[in-house]
Amino acid sequence: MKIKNKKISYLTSFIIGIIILLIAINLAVNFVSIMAQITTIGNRSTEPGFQYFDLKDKLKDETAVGFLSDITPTPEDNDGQFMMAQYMLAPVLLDLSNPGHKINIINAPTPDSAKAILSIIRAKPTYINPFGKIISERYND
Amino acid sequence: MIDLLTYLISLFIGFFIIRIILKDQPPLPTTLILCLSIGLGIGVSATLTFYSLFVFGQFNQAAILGINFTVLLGLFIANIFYFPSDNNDKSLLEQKSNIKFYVTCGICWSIVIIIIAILSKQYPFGGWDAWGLYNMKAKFLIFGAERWKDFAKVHWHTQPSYPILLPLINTWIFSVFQRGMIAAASMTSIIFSVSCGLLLYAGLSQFIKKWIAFLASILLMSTPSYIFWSTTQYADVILSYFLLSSVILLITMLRTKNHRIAFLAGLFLGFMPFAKNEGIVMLVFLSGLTSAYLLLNKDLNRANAISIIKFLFIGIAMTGAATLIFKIFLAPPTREVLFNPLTKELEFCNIKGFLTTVGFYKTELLNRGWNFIWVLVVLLGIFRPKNLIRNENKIFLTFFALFFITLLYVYLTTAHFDLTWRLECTASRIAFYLLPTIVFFSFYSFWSEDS
Repeated sequence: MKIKNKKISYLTSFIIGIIILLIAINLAVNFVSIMAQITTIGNRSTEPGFQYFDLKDKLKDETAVGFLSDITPTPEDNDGQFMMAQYMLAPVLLDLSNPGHKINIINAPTPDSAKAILSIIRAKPTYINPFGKIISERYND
Repeated sequence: MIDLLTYLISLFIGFFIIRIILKDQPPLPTTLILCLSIGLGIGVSATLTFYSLFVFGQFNQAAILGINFTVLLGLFIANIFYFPSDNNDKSLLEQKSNIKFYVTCGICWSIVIIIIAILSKQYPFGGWDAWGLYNMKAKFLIFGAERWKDFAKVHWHTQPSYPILLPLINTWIFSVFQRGMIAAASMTSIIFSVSCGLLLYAGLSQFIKKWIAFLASILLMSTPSYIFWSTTQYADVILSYFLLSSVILLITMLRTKNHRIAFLAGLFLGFMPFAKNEGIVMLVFLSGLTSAYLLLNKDLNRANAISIIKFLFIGIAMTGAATLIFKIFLAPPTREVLFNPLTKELEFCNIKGFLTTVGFYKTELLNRGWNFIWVLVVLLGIFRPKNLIRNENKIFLTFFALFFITLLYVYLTTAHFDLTWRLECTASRIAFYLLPTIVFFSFYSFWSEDS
């Protein structure tokens, strides 16, 4: 019985030793992370979707607009532009790849591709911001 | 920081509810009551906010505040009448403690809380899903006026089927002082991160030596990946908290056979599906297994077992009603799970898919961020394997086994996404929300005495 108790006591001490060691390593890793954070602070503090920030005022009277892009967003490869735009512009509802709306946001990597989208949906740009994000309005047919 | 007052309101709501439920029964330890109060109170405030959106048709600050303060006042008055006259009763499961121990704990916890608070600033706007899903939905709830339900119409990239407990919590916190939604979201993640760690201590200290429970909580709260995932402003930390609290209360209920604790456990179980879809699976497995255990337990009178189960399910119904309303009236069907695998050609439902999934999880659990905490958990199980299937422990071992089988099913029947991509997005988060409960279970089964 005594031997068994001793075995249990050794086992408990061993486990406690491991736990204390792991806590010490955790604290050291966290200390390094905090130091790294202090030295890099400010570099990553831009709000997601800031590229769409100035579109908010222009769209404040809209309930839903189209969001068109020549990049097909798939779950695996989406560039996040649609989600960032939806986050920044909520509660305006963005309708992905649906040009049926009168007002559409165009996210195109180059002016040429933007022009191509505008001509396909028969729309004119009403606002272009410094990040190249376009608010377009379709012509009345 | 002023938002902390809002959490304090919820803390009092939770505290008074627990006091009324427990009434003159042997109370739970004070630390456990406090740790449970914060989650229960926040959950209740968020649910009331949800109902106020339905009743008033839009975000209405006066209505949300009015309802919450009325509930708080009502509970306060009820507590005056129901507060036990002799409240010196020690908990059935509480142990002796001393002031030196609590001072040491206080200092160590303060250090860890400061670390969590500093590291939470790493991503001030949260991780991808925080802004892309939860904070975005909160924007619809707060600023959407009568179109607040539009969050359920957003494109599937923004997962409209995800439950909305976290956006509602942030809406409630925002509603009081309106100091900024991002600040509220960040504070919520810190509150739940800390509460989950303290809850681990409070739950464990009922059954094992307090200083070992304290080590477990410090270990959990200082693990780098735990800090990272709990402060990314995702709903995982909410699910993690409610899963842990449910398991603690179920064990307490099974040990004490107390109807009131069964009801309280039900309230916590009912919040899980409103936090994340996985919560539905957890709720079904935990309530089902506990009910089966009670019914098959020969030491327990059958009528008494049925009565305990009844109380458990009444609790579930009370908090789970919000999820039902959400799923029936708001949420579109989820794309995450394939309910009828025969309808699709399954690319990953083969041995390669199985090995990829298992291999990915092995790599994830040995990731440096977890700092071998998973190895420790496995060691605790290996050293005393008999304890894992002792009495009520078999419920929780079966629960984890069933949950892993369900996860495997979901991965192998992946139809809309690439399996590797899905594993990359989910494995670490699943490991995170299970971690506190698995740490609790491993410490509990290794050190606790037979009931």
